[in-house]
Order: sequence, then structure tokens, then C-alpha cells
Amino acid sequence: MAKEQVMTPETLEGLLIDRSLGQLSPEVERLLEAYLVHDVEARRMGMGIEETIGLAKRTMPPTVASAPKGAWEQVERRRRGRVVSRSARWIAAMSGMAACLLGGFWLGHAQPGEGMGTARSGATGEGGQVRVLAASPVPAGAPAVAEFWSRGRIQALAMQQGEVRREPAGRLPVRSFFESPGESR
Amino acid sequence: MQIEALYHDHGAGLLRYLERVFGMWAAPEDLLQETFVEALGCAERCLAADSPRAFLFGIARNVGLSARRRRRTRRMEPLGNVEPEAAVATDSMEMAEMRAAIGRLEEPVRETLELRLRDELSYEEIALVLGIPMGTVRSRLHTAVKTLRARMRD
Repeated sequence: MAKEQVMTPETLEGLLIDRSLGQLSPEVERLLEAYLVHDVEARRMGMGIEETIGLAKRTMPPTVASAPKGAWEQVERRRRGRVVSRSARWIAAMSGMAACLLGGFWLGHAQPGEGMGTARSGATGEGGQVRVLAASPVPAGAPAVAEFWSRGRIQALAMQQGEVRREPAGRLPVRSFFESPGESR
Repeated sequence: MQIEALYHDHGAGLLRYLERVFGMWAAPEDLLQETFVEALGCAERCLAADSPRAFLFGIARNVGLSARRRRRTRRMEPLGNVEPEAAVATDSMEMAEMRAAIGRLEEPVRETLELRLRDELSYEEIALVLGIPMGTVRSRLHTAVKTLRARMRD
């Protein structure tokens, strides 16, 4: 047994709105028209809705009536420009990376390793001489032994060669002042 | 090219839409060109769409929203409250009331109504453009019409 469909006011209003907006299928519209023939109140409601929508349409005039100013060529040019700029960015990134690698490779080959114990600045001093910033306290030619950099060995080597006893690195002059005030003064 | 044909067929409508909705944040012609540059990037999908027009409107909307995100500062009042001066000058009392009533609609409802009445998109096309179900489009339009009727009766 088929269930009887009842037209509720909500359903009717929805159908009338859809009809006024031109979104009702022809079949449903035909059925709705047939229904409206017998329902004066619904017809009046339909007219009211159409009036409202018609007024709303009139208050929404197009803001631009003319065709777009931009020609199609501009769109294509813009697209080409975007493709080119994307390629250019990629090429630039790759070139930069290659330049870095080549630079590093060249530096590695052109600057052979220096002797240990000597640190040099990158800048040259007067007359093109390389300026030495720090030198090892161990005399040149000293035999390589264990504990090469130990404080005791450095002092021993200095004493052997009759040099003045050097203060160990990191010892503050003020400490010497308090330890042997007579000498300092 | 077929996208070029779409440009000639729908360019004016899209420009109208872009000017109305995003004109306060960016030049509509610029947005239109951007829309078609994007469309060229996905030409196959655009041409295979059930409604290439709705597809283009969807791209235009995304392009416009991106422009709006980039430029937070507004050049003028939000849309819906602003109409061309000539139109406002010739308004009858009834039309002025309707204009005010439309301006007071919630943003999603007004946007949906304008896509139907101004841009003449179908329910299916509006659903595609806004990325919402068709039932939601219908519901929003029903809400809009009922609200406008009620406000005009008051």
C-alpha cells in the first residue's frame, strides 16, 4: 500500500521558492501548478515569493556591463612569465650550489695544509708576509714525544735552552703579584 | 585553445563577480587573469568538468580569497552594503529597503543568493563553487528568501 504524501506548508514554501529561482524540474513544476489550481492561499504565497525575488534581482544590477579589458594574450604572457621565472629560480639555485661546491673544491686544493702548531690569519701583513697570530711555545725541531703539549714538557724544553721561565698559559698576572709581591714590585 | 573560448564566454561574468566580491582587495582584471592562468595549469580538469563555468568560478573565488588574505587592509566598505551610486540614486523606497535587508543577511547566505541572482549560477554550480552540498545551497537560498520576505513585510 503506497504511503500518501501530504503537502506541508514548509514543503510548499520550499517548492515555491525553488520555482521562483528557476530550479524546479519540469515534472515537479507541472505537479505544483496542478496543486496550485486548487489552493488559492498557496497561489498567493507563490506570488509573494516571486515578488520578493524579483525585487531582490532588481536591487542587484551588474556592476560591470562591459567585456573584460584584459585580452587573452595578456593571460598567456603572464603564464609564460610564470613558467620562465620558475625555471630561472631553479637554475639560479642550482648555479649557486654548483658555485659553492667548486669554490670549496678549489680552496681545498689551492691551500695545502700548514704545519701543526701554527695558526695564521687569512690576511697578510706588511709586504705580503703572512701575519702569525700565535706560535707554538715548543721550539722548532723538537722531537715528537708523548704528551707533546703538556705544560711540564714545555717548561722543561724552555729551561734546557736557557730561556726565561714562561708563565703557563691562562695564568693571570695579578696572581703572580700576590704570590711573589717582592719580585713584582 | 578551448580555455581561450571559455575566457571569451565567461570572462565578463567572472570579472563582474570578482569586482563585486573581491574588488576591495585587488584589481578585478588582475584577478581574472590570475584565474585563467590557474585554469591553464589544470586545463584538462577544467574542460572535463560538468560545468566549466562553475569550475572557473571556483578558481576565481580561491584566487580572490588568496588576494584578500594577502591584503588585509580594505579600500572600501564590505560588499553588500555598497552599490553603485547611480543605482542608489534611482532606488525606490522599496528597493532601498530590500537592499538594506540583503545587506543584513549572513555572509554565507548572501554570497549564495548573489551567486544565484546576480551570477545566475544553478544550485549545482553554486555547490561546486562554494564546495558545499547542494542541500546546503538550497537551504541557504530558502533561508535568504524567507528572511527577505519577513523583513519586507515588517
